[in-house]
Amino acid sequence: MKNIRAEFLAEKSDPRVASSQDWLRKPYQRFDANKWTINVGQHFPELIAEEYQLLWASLPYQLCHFTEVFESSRALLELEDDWDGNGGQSFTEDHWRLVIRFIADNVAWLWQRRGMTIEAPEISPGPGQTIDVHWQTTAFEMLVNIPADVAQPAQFYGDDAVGHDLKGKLDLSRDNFWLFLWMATKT
Amino acid sequence: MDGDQDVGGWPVEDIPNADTLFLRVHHANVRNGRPIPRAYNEHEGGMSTNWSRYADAELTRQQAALIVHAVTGRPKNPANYGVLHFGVGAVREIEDVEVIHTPRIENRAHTDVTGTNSPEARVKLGRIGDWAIPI
Repeated sequence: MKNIRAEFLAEKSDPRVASSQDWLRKPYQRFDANKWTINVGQHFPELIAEEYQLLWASLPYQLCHFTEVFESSRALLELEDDWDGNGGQSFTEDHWRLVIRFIADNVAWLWQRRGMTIEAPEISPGPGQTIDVHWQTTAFEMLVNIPADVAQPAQFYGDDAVGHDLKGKLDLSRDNFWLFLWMATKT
Repeated sequence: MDGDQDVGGWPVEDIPNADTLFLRVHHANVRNGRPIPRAYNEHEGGMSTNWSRYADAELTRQQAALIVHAVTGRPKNPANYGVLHFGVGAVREIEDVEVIHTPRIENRAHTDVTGTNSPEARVKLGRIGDWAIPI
Protein backbone atom coordinates (compact mmCIF):
# COMPACT_ATOMS: atom_id res chain seq x y z
CA MET A 1 0.00 0.00 0.00
CA LYS A 2 1.33 3.43 -0.87
CA ASN A 3 2.18 5.65 2.03
CA ILE A 4 1.07 8.94 0.60
CA ARG A 5 2.10 10.99 3.59
CA ALA A 6 5.63 9.50 3.63
CA GLU A 7 5.98 10.12 -0.09
CA PHE A 8 4.81 13.66 0.38
CA LEU A 9 7.30 14.33 3.16
CA ALA A 10 10.14 12.74 1.17
CA GLU A 11 9.31 14.85 -1.81
CA LYS A 12 9.11 17.93 0.37
CA SER A 13 12.68 17.37 1.60
CA ASP A 14 14.04 16.50 -1.85
CA PRO A 15 16.34 19.40 -2.82
CA ARG A 16 15.07 19.10 -6.37
CA VAL A 17 11.63 20.06 -5.24
CA ALA A 18 12.56 21.95 -2.07
CA SER A 19 11.58 25.20 -3.55
CA SER A 20 8.45 23.81 -5.10
CA GLN A 21 6.32 25.56 -2.53
CA ASP A 22 7.38 28.82 -4.09
CA TRP A 23 5.06 27.94 -6.92
CA LEU A 24 2.14 27.72 -4.53
CA ARG A 25 -0.02 30.66 -3.76
CA LYS A 26 0.99 32.48 -0.58
CA PRO A 27 -1.64 31.01 1.76
CA TYR A 28 -0.68 27.45 0.80
CA GLN A 29 3.03 28.00 1.30
CA ARG A 30 2.49 28.01 5.05
CA PHE A 31 1.05 24.50 4.91
CA ASP A 32 3.22 22.06 6.85
CA ALA A 33 2.19 18.41 6.74
CA ASN A 34 4.04 17.77 9.99
CA LYS A 35 1.63 20.04 11.78
CA TRP A 36 -1.39 18.80 9.93
CA THR A 37 -3.86 17.78 12.58
CA ILE A 38 -7.60 17.39 12.40
CA ASN A 39 -9.84 17.85 15.38
CA VAL A 40 -11.88 14.70 14.81
CA GLY A 41 -14.17 15.36 17.71
CA GLN A 42 -15.08 18.76 16.30
CA HIS A 43 -15.39 17.88 12.63
CA PHE A 44 -16.38 14.21 12.71
CA PRO A 45 -18.15 13.65 16.05
CA GLU A 46 -19.80 10.51 14.68
CA LEU A 47 -16.38 8.87 14.56
CA ILE A 48 -15.83 9.27 18.30
CA ALA A 49 -17.03 6.24 20.27
CA GLU A 50 -17.48 6.01 23.99
CA GLU A 51 -16.00 2.91 25.55
CA TYR A 52 -19.42 1.67 26.66
CA GLN A 53 -20.62 1.70 23.03
CA LEU A 54 -18.37 -1.29 22.40
CA LEU A 55 -21.11 -3.30 24.08
CA TRP A 56 -23.12 -3.08 20.89
CA ALA A 57 -20.37 -2.36 18.36
CA SER A 58 -20.95 -5.65 16.58
CA LEU A 59 -24.64 -5.01 15.90
CA PRO A 60 -25.44 -4.58 12.20
CA TYR A 61 -27.22 -1.46 11.01
CA GLN A 62 -30.47 -3.42 10.76
CA LEU A 63 -30.53 -3.42 14.56
CA CYS A 64 -29.90 0.30 14.99
CA HIS A 65 -33.28 0.67 16.74
CA PHE A 66 -31.65 -1.10 19.68
CA THR A 67 -28.64 1.18 19.80
CA GLU A 68 -30.92 4.20 20.12
CA VAL A 69 -32.64 2.64 23.11
CA PHE A 70 -29.32 1.61 24.66
CA GLU A 71 -27.99 5.11 24.33
CA SER A 72 -31.06 6.76 25.81
CA SER A 73 -31.12 4.25 28.68
CA ARG A 74 -27.87 5.81 29.93
CA ALA A 75 -30.23 8.28 31.58
CA LEU A 76 -30.74 5.63 34.27
CA LEU A 77 -27.22 6.34 35.46
CA GLU A 78 -28.05 9.99 36.03
CA LEU A 79 -30.77 9.20 38.55
CA GLU A 80 -29.75 10.17 42.03
CA ASP A 81 -30.89 8.55 45.24
CA ASP A 82 -34.56 9.27 45.94
CA TRP A 83 -35.17 10.16 42.29
CA ASP A 84 -38.82 9.20 42.66
CA GLY A 85 -39.45 10.89 45.99
CA ASN A 86 -39.98 7.45 47.49
CA GLY A 87 -36.47 6.24 48.25
CA GLY A 88 -35.58 5.14 44.71
CA GLN A 89 -31.89 4.21 44.56
CA SER A 90 -29.33 5.16 41.95
CA PHE A 91 -28.03 2.61 39.44
CA THR A 92 -24.46 1.48 38.79
CA GLU A 93 -22.57 1.33 35.51
CA ASP A 94 -22.01 -2.42 35.96
CA HIS A 95 -25.71 -3.05 36.41
CA TRP A 96 -26.57 -1.06 33.29
CA ARG A 97 -23.90 -2.93 31.29
CA LEU A 98 -25.28 -6.26 32.45
CA VAL A 99 -28.67 -5.32 31.06
CA ILE A 100 -27.33 -3.99 27.75
CA ARG A 101 -25.08 -7.02 27.24
CA PHE A 102 -28.05 -9.32 27.84
CA ILE A 103 -30.10 -7.61 25.15
CA ALA A 104 -27.31 -6.90 22.64
CA ASP A 105 -25.84 -10.40 22.71
CA ASN A 106 -29.21 -12.04 22.22
CA VAL A 107 -30.55 -9.79 19.47
CA ALA A 108 -27.21 -10.20 17.65
CA TRP A 109 -27.60 -13.98 17.89
CA LEU A 110 -31.16 -13.75 16.64
CA TRP A 111 -30.10 -11.72 13.63
CA GLN A 112 -26.97 -13.64 12.74
CA ARG A 113 -28.34 -17.13 13.22
CA ARG A 114 -31.97 -16.72 12.23
CA GLY A 115 -32.13 -13.46 10.32
CA MET A 116 -34.85 -12.29 12.70
CA THR A 117 -35.33 -9.24 14.84
CA ILE A 118 -37.82 -7.83 17.32
CA GLU A 119 -38.87 -4.39 18.50
CA ALA A 120 -36.60 -2.60 20.91
CA PRO A 121 -37.68 -2.76 24.56
CA GLU A 122 -38.18 0.01 27.06
CA ILE A 123 -35.47 -0.02 29.72
CA SER A 124 -36.60 1.48 33.01
CA PRO A 125 -36.05 1.25 36.77
CA GLY A 126 -37.60 -1.77 38.44
CA PRO A 127 -38.48 -2.38 42.09
CA GLY A 128 -35.53 -1.88 44.46
CA GLN A 129 -32.13 -2.35 42.84
CA THR A 130 -33.43 -3.89 39.64
CA ILE A 131 -33.86 -2.79 36.03
CA ASP A 132 -36.89 -3.68 33.94
CA VAL A 133 -36.65 -4.58 30.25
CA HIS A 134 -40.14 -4.32 28.83
CA TRP A 135 -41.45 -5.22 25.38
CA GLN A 136 -45.02 -4.21 24.71
CA THR A 137 -46.16 -4.87 21.16
CA THR A 138 -49.44 -5.73 19.49
CA ALA A 139 -48.31 -9.37 19.30
CA PHE A 140 -46.82 -9.97 22.71
CA GLU A 141 -45.73 -8.45 26.00
CA MET A 142 -42.59 -9.45 27.89
CA LEU A 143 -41.12 -8.09 31.10
CA VAL A 144 -37.64 -9.15 32.23
CA ASN A 145 -36.53 -7.90 35.64
CA ILE A 146 -32.75 -7.86 36.14
CA PRO A 147 -31.29 -7.38 39.62
CA ALA A 148 -28.00 -5.58 40.27
CA ASP A 149 -26.73 -8.61 42.16
CA VAL A 150 -25.44 -10.98 39.48
CA ALA A 151 -25.85 -13.90 41.87
CA GLN A 152 -29.62 -13.36 41.71
CA PRO A 153 -31.53 -14.68 38.70
CA ALA A 154 -33.49 -12.40 36.41
CA GLN A 155 -37.23 -13.02 36.45
CA PHE A 156 -39.48 -12.80 33.43
CA TYR A 157 -43.08 -13.04 32.35
CA GLY A 158 -44.47 -12.83 28.85
CA ASP A 159 -47.63 -13.65 26.97
CA ASP A 160 -49.03 -13.23 23.50
CA ALA A 161 -52.25 -12.13 21.91
CA VAL A 162 -53.70 -15.64 21.87
CA GLY A 163 -53.05 -16.35 25.53
CA HIS A 164 -49.82 -18.37 25.46
CA ASP A 165 -47.63 -17.33 28.33
CA LEU A 166 -44.29 -18.19 29.84
CA LYS A 167 -42.55 -17.15 33.02
CA GLY A 168 -39.53 -18.15 35.02
CA LYS A 169 -36.01 -17.23 35.96
CA LEU A 170 -32.91 -16.64 33.85
CA ASP A 171 -29.24 -17.11 34.61
CA LEU A 172 -27.72 -14.25 32.64
CA SER A 173 -24.33 -15.96 32.55
CA ARG A 174 -25.80 -18.64 30.28
CA ASP A 175 -27.41 -18.58 26.83
CA ASN A 176 -30.90 -17.14 26.85
CA PHE A 177 -31.54 -16.72 23.13
CA TRP A 178 -34.54 -19.05 23.26
CA LEU A 179 -36.43 -16.27 25.04
CA PHE A 180 -35.68 -13.88 22.19
CA LEU A 181 -36.61 -16.54 19.68
CA TRP A 182 -39.99 -16.84 21.41
CA MET A 183 -40.54 -13.11 21.00
CA ALA A 184 -39.35 -13.14 17.38
CA THR A 185 -41.77 -15.90 16.45
CA LYS A 186 -44.63 -13.79 17.84
CA THR A 187 -43.70 -10.78 15.75
CA MET B 1 -64.67 -11.25 58.96
CA ASP B 2 -65.77 -7.61 59.18
CA GLY B 3 -64.52 -5.98 62.36
CA ASP B 4 -62.54 -9.06 63.36
CA GLN B 5 -59.49 -7.06 64.09
CA ASP B 6 -58.72 -3.39 64.63
CA VAL B 7 -55.80 -1.80 62.88
CA GLY B 8 -55.04 1.84 63.49
CA GLY B 9 -58.30 2.19 65.41
CA TRP B 10 -60.40 1.09 62.44
CA PRO B 11 -61.89 -2.35 61.89
CA VAL B 12 -60.38 -4.48 59.14
CA GLU B 13 -63.07 -5.16 56.58
CA ASP B 14 -63.56 -7.46 53.61
CA ILE B 15 -63.28 -5.58 50.34
CA PRO B 16 -65.87 -6.61 47.73
CA ASN B 17 -64.66 -7.48 44.25
CA ALA B 18 -66.96 -4.89 42.75
CA ASP B 19 -65.17 -2.04 44.53
CA THR B 20 -62.26 0.03 43.31
CA LEU B 21 -58.69 0.66 44.46
CA PHE B 22 -56.81 3.91 43.87
CA LEU B 23 -53.04 4.00 43.46
CA ARG B 24 -50.92 7.16 43.60
CA VAL B 25 -48.20 7.22 40.90
CA HIS B 26 -45.22 9.58 40.95
CA HIS B 27 -44.46 11.29 37.64
CA ALA B 28 -41.01 9.66 37.61
CA ASN B 29 -42.79 6.34 37.13
CA VAL B 30 -44.66 7.52 34.04
CA ARG B 31 -43.34 7.48 30.46
CA ASN B 32 -45.23 8.69 27.43
CA GLY B 33 -48.35 8.99 29.52
CA ARG B 34 -48.23 5.39 30.72
CA PRO B 35 -47.07 4.05 34.09
CA ILE B 36 -43.89 1.97 33.84
CA PRO B 37 -44.04 -1.48 35.51
CA ARG B 38 -42.22 -0.10 38.54
CA ALA B 39 -45.30 1.94 39.42
CA TYR B 40 -46.71 -1.23 41.00
CA ASN B 41 -43.76 -1.56 43.32
CA GLU B 42 -44.48 -3.43 46.55
CA HIS B 43 -42.70 -2.08 49.60
CA GLU B 44 -43.25 -1.97 53.36
CA GLY B 45 -45.84 -4.71 53.28
CA GLY B 46 -47.42 -4.19 49.91
CA MET B 47 -48.44 -1.78 47.20
CA SER B 48 -50.29 0.98 49.05
CA THR B 49 -53.70 1.80 47.66
CA ASN B 50 -56.97 3.32 48.87
CA TRP B 51 -60.30 1.53 48.96
CA SER B 52 -63.11 3.36 47.21
CA ARG B 53 -65.47 2.91 50.18
CA TYR B 54 -63.52 5.50 52.18
CA ALA B 55 -61.57 7.48 49.59
CA ASP B 56 -61.72 8.74 46.04
CA ALA B 57 -59.06 9.54 43.47
CA GLU B 58 -58.61 13.18 44.49
CA LEU B 59 -58.28 12.34 48.18
CA THR B 60 -55.72 9.69 47.27
CA ARG B 61 -53.70 12.28 45.42
CA GLN B 62 -53.95 14.90 48.17
CA GLN B 63 -52.81 12.40 50.80
CA ALA B 64 -49.31 12.69 49.35
CA ALA B 65 -49.08 15.90 51.37
CA LEU B 66 -49.44 13.84 54.58
CA ILE B 67 -46.15 12.07 53.85
CA VAL B 68 -42.96 13.83 54.86
CA HIS B 69 -40.16 13.54 52.34
CA ALA B 70 -37.30 11.59 53.94
CA VAL B 71 -34.61 13.82 52.43
CA THR B 72 -36.07 17.32 52.42
CA GLY B 73 -38.22 16.92 55.55
CA ARG B 74 -41.04 18.66 53.74
CA PRO B 75 -44.45 17.25 52.79
CA LYS B 76 -44.63 15.65 49.37
CA ASN B 77 -46.29 17.63 46.61
CA PRO B 78 -49.60 16.12 45.37
CA ALA B 79 -49.05 17.82 42.02
CA ASN B 80 -46.25 15.32 41.35
CA TYR B 81 -48.69 12.43 41.37
CA GLY B 82 -51.37 10.94 39.16
CA VAL B 83 -53.87 8.35 40.35
CA LEU B 84 -54.74 4.99 38.78
CA HIS B 85 -57.86 3.00 39.54
CA PHE B 86 -58.31 -0.78 39.51
CA GLY B 87 -61.25 -3.09 39.92
CA VAL B 88 -60.68 -5.18 43.06
CA GLY B 89 -61.92 -8.37 41.39
CA ALA B 90 -59.53 -7.94 38.46
CA VAL B 91 -56.62 -7.44 40.84
CA ARG B 92 -57.52 -10.61 42.74
CA GLU B 93 -57.54 -12.61 39.52
CA ILE B 94 -53.78 -12.14 39.21
CA GLU B 95 -51.88 -15.16 40.50
CA ASP B 96 -50.37 -14.75 44.00
CA VAL B 97 -51.78 -11.24 44.41
CA GLU B 98 -53.90 -10.42 47.46
CA VAL B 99 -55.92 -7.39 48.46
CA ILE B 100 -55.87 -6.74 52.20
CA HIS B 101 -57.56 -3.89 54.02
CA THR B 102 -54.90 -2.36 56.29
CA PRO B 103 -56.43 0.83 57.74
CA ARG B 104 -54.24 3.39 59.40
CA ILE B 105 -55.15 5.96 62.02
CA GLU B 106 -55.04 8.77 59.48
CA ASN B 107 -56.40 6.71 56.59
CA ARG B 108 -59.25 4.25 56.97
CA ALA B 109 -59.12 3.49 53.23
CA HIS B 110 -55.56 2.19 53.24
CA THR B 111 -55.27 -1.17 51.52
CA ASP B 112 -52.19 -3.23 50.77
CA VAL B 113 -51.92 -5.23 47.58
CA THR B 114 -49.31 -7.95 48.05
CA GLY B 115 -47.39 -10.02 45.53
CA THR B 116 -47.04 -7.20 43.01
CA ASN B 117 -43.28 -7.31 42.52
CA SER B 118 -43.34 -10.31 40.18
CA PRO B 119 -43.10 -9.52 36.46
CA GLU B 120 -46.41 -11.30 35.87
CA ALA B 121 -48.27 -9.18 38.40
CA ARG B 122 -46.80 -5.95 37.10
CA VAL B 123 -47.60 -6.79 33.47
CA LYS B 124 -51.20 -7.61 34.37
CA LEU B 125 -51.68 -4.62 36.65
CA GLY B 126 -50.51 -2.50 33.73
CA ARG B 127 -53.41 -3.85 31.67
CA ILE B 128 -56.21 -3.44 34.17
CA GLY B 129 -55.26 -0.07 35.63
CA ASP B 130 -56.58 3.15 34.16
CA TRP B 131 -56.00 6.79 34.97
CA ALA B 132 -58.48 8.39 37.33
CA ILE B 133 -56.22 11.47 37.48
CA PRO B 134 -53.61 11.41 34.74
CA ILE B 135 -50.23 13.05 35.01
